[in-house]
Amino acid sequence: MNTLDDLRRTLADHSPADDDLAARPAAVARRVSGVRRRRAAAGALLAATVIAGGGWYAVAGPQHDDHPAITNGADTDAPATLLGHDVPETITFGGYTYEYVSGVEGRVGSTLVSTAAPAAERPLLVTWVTERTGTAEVQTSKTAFAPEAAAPFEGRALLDAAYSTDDFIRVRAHSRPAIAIYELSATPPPGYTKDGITFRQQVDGRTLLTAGLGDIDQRELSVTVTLPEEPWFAFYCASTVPFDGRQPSPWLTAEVDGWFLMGSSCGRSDERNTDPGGILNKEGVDDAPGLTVSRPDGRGGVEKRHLEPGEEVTLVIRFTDKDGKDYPGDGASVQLGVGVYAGR
Amino acid sequence: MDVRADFDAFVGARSSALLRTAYLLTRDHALAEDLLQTALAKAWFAWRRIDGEPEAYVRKILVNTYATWWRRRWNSERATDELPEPSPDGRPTAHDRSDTSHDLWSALGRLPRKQRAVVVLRYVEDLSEAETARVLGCSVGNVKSQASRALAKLRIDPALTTEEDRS
Repeated sequence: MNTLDDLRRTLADHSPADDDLAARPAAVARRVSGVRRRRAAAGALLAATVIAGGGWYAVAGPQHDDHPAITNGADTDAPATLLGHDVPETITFGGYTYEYVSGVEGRVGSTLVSTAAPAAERPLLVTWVTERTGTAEVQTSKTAFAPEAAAPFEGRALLDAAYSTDDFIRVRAHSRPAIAIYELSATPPPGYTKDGITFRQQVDGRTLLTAGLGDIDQRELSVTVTLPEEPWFAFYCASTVPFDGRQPSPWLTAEVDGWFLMGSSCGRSDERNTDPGGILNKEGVDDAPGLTVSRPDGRGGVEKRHLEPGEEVTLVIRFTDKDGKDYPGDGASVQLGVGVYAGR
Repeated sequence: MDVRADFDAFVGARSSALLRTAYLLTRDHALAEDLLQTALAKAWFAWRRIDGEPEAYVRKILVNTYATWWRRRWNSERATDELPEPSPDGRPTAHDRSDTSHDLWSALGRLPRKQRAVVVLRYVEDLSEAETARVLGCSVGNVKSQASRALAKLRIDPALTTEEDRS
């Protein structure tokens, strides 16, 4: 059995040497500046706190420090090098551009590097480099990614939840790691963008022909397109219909020149798919070039119609129930969108 | 002294003590520094509003930040109730003190985070139960029960604690 003296002695024996004391004020200053910059970037209108003696910690006014919080490693200029490797200014991932925010190297001899997350308004992308080839594992306050072996700055960990400076991002590896953090560019990729939703111009080699996004609560939308040989469709449907079991499931029904093309259930949450082109549908496309649509033949069967490439058609999407009937009630908010792509 | 100089002076004078608290909580040098800097940066934004002793204020931020990380399922640690078997010999001798220290340190690492925080605040920082409760934002009764459980898991003989410790 132990005594309280044993406990106190044990705790005292494990008190760490403070090797970072001299550097700590500057490190905290950088962290404060990072918080300040992020707040400003997020458009937070903070009351000016003008501090006598200078603006080192001022929370408003011109921002001079482009580097957010750096924690247990060496702060680096951005973009520059990490562990001797050039840091890319931007990274393209999933068709989107991410811009460099910050980087930090682990201490010599350490296999862990940790940093506070920047308070980003947009998704973050984490990449890394290690001193020696091997696996690395990204962990955050909210997510843990599987270990991955990758060339310098080729590994990817996409953080699409909201992060704040209370959250941490860290990388464990088998050798000294460095971490680089990127934020989704505020500039959307080429394509059709409205209300923060982008139908990308190029998706997996397929090219956007036309797109449209309705206004909030606009329950029908149409676009006109000349049919390519192999059309692909991207649909967007966001609704606020609750999962209470009392209201019918919300659907999007797509028709071409009055003929049925496809139906798809709608999202039912505040989270919006800002990249509808990430999922392309090939409904109505069979072995023959063009598009095949259908409608009831009045005798309990289905009548089909084939539309040839080169035909100009009107694609209509409507907010419906799963049977294709106009969605009942007006209590739910909805937004519809569609993009048509060409390619194999 | 202006605010910045005052803050820097505080960091220079007291952050080593706060680092000790952070390290005993996190048991990781890098994460302790991370935790400490997080707490100091948060404290800066309220520095001019702090009424009274800033160290207690910063320590409260530090412990609460630690608890926040914990609630977000910090992945590096997992508490367990499985502790090493106690020595059958009762109180340690000088000969096996180093083993005792090692075992205690290991056992501390296995404590649930709140219990570890209570142990650090009570037996390292020498805070009273009421002060510990204020820092942790819980009741004095909760501090007592957490301390009691922690001591039991650490195989601290209650008979060897002081009256205050058992109060």
